[in-house]
Amino acid sequence: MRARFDSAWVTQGLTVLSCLFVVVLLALDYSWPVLSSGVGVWLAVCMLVIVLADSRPITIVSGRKVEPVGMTVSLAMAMTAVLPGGTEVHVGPGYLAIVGAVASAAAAGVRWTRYGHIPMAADIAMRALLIGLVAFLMRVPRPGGPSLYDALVRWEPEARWILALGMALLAALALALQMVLWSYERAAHEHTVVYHALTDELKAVGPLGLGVVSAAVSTALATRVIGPVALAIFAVPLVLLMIAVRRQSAVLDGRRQTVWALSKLTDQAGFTDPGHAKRVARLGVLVGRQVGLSEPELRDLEYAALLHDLGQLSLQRSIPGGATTHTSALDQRRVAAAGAALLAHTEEMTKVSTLVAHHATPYWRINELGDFPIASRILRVVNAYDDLVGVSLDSGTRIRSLQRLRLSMGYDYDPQALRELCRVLRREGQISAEDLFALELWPSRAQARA
Amino acid sequence: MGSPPVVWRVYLFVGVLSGLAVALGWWGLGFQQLVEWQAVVILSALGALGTNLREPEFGDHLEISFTTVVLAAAMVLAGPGGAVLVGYASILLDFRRGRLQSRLFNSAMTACMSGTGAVAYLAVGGLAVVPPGTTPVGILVGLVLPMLAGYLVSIAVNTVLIGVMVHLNHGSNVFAVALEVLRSLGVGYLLHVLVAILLVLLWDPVGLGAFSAVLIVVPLLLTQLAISRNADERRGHARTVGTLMGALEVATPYSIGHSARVAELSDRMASRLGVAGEDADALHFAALLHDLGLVSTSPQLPKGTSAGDVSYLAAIQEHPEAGVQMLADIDFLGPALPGILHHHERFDGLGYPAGLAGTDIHLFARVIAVADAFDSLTTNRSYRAEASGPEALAECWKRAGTHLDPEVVQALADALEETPWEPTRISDKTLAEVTDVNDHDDPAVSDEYAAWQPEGSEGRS
Repeated sequence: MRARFDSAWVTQGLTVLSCLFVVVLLALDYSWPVLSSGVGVWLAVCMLVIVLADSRPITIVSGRKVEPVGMTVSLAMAMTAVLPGGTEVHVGPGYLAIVGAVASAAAAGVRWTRYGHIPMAADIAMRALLIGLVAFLMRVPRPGGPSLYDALVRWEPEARWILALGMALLAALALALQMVLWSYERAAHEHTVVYHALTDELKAVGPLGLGVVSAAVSTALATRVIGPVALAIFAVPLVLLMIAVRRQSAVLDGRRQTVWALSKLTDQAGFTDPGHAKRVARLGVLVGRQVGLSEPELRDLEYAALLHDLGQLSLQRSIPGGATTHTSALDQRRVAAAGAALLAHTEEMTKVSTLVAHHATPYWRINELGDFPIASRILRVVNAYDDLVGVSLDSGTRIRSLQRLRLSMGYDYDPQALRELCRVLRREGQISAEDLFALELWPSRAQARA
Repeated sequence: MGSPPVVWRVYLFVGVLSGLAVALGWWGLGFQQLVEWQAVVILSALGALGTNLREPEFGDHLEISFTTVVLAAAMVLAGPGGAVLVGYASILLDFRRGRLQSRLFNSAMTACMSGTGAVAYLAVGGLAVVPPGTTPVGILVGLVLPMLAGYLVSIAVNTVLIGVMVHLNHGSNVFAVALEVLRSLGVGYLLHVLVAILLVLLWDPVGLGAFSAVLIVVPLLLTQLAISRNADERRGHARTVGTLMGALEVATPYSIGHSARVAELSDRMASRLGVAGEDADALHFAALLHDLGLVSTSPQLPKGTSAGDVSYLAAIQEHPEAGVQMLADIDFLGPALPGILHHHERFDGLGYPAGLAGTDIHLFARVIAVADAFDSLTTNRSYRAEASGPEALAECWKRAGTHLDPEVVQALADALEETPWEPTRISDKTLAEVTDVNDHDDPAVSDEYAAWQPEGSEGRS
């Protein structure tokens, strides 16, 4: 499934909706909170920790910024019922959401001045929405019994674990909601399939999410005996998990950086036009998303695009000017095969090796070879396009290049890959709608627009 | 056919220790009015789970042993007798293979340490059960501080028992070994007791019971999983870089396998020079990639010249910088870059690219320089045969102080004494194909460079 709304719609809609939600919550429970006997101090500590934690987000795989500790404290704040000495927290969900939003906004301000991150209203609105939702559901009577909040106040000795489990489910629900909304937003923003965006997100932040759930429940429960101190010390296991996750993503980033560095080898040796591999990688990934490849497939496509000329280095007799579309098909295949052989030595690069090997295979051989990966057919088309266009900024060159590819479509080049390339170029404003129709890639104009 | 007495002493010690543990457990179970069997069973299961999941080599300091957390919590939740049982169960239920003797010793030692920890907890005023309504200060005095004390006592028992065991096996000083073990644990080891305190707080004063184990264990389990996967991925990544580098060497037949051999030699020297942990990783990568610049510059090297030609020397001196330029964007290679940039510096300051001398040259670079020269000498060239290991080492000694760092050469000598080095032979056929190629790593080339000294290279430090 593709995202039907664009990303601005999602963020603005979310902001408006959560404002409305907070207003409704306030209307349902507008009694002014009593801040005596420790409740005020506890709320202030919650805000302080959220500001401190959120102003230092950690970066994990592919540049995602996450705030696990801030989220933990926000959820714990929504789920806490009792402070030491049996004091009840009489603060309505609407007020809790506002407190969370204020803290989150303050942190966004700190990040703006310190790192130059532009504050996003949607981030703050999301936090308010989640806090309000969890606090509200905590206070709604469960079927056939008191609300979780009331049960926590009474704290009967029997079946306490069911209450903890219920809280864990609420926290997990909140995180899942956030994950789905952000994945949808990203899918809309990057023109990718929602399901792929969601699985990728789950893989990247899933473990941290579980850590947040368990830390939030522990903190909310421990506050009843040790008070606001719980906010600080119950984050320790989560912080350990954060360190481990960040190290793991450092290794993944390292692998990516290694491939980028390797892609420069052929440029430095003077075999290829500088920047060619980079441009093919960028465009290839866009086309891959358009075709609906999953994130791991896109990563392989990116690596294959970056390394597709690597074979030049191991050839005894190099091909001057690189293995471009202008050289003979035989030479192209020679370089592709040599590059694939290099990559095949390593376990991690087996798939990339296959893609590199096949990018020199013309499309018509698909009947003979059976199927070969769509990613390599995309790579073939995008590589040929970049060879023809190069660094030229002239739109005439672009059209002539596409026309040339169009002539060999179905013989040399995969029709689907070429069509999606043209769509991507159109979206990027590189070719006009008229040019796109003139290429006659689709039987009707309506299909071209789809 | 008498066994050496040392084995009997070890078994006697393990026997006495087991006896002590059983006695402690027996006394503890009698002493406690109420044994929390539920806690004993659950903690034993968790402890055993942690032992079975333990990754033997992590190579970093984030190691958080699950079993240690469970044992620390058992001191309070299970009482002295229960703690002994949990200690025994955690180690004995290890389903991976291991030596019987060490397993018996480990289980008895673990039981003793958690048992004494539990006794110490009660002795300094720790509460067996925290009454409802205890204030936060009451919890600090009656639970948190005594737990810390009990944990420290159990660590002391642990290290001393290890010291005794090592003394019986190798005759070393008991307390020196105990101190060494203590130092290797580091301050980070206190994290375990902190997490254990969280578990106990939720279990007893909050009153959540066994479910609190789930809440605390889940993040720990995920952490352990992330760490072990991370270790796998790091190894995998190092392998990838190594194989790719090896594959790229195919273009210059002289250098096939060279990077991998230099990396191996550097690894062997590293531990003897006090390079360990992440530094060792960085040195390994630096050694693997030290000639990466050559892969891209070699197609442009002048052919058919002798090693002394200025054109050749001028061309070759660019490869360290070319390599560093390519790798500059890779964050994790940051610490490896000085090793790559300066691997052709000479100890007397006559090398390239910067003309650094002595210990101004980064240690990694000095290590790679020695490995580089040694590997070049033990590989045959079209103009000379390969040298044997001892011959090449003698040549390195001759160069110590001028070309190479004597301290590093000493490390190489120690490494070779342990495992000798097999010279590399390139086939005559390959040699015939590449007759006109010089080997830039040949120490003779380094001497040519030192004698040449291009204008302006002096004082560039």
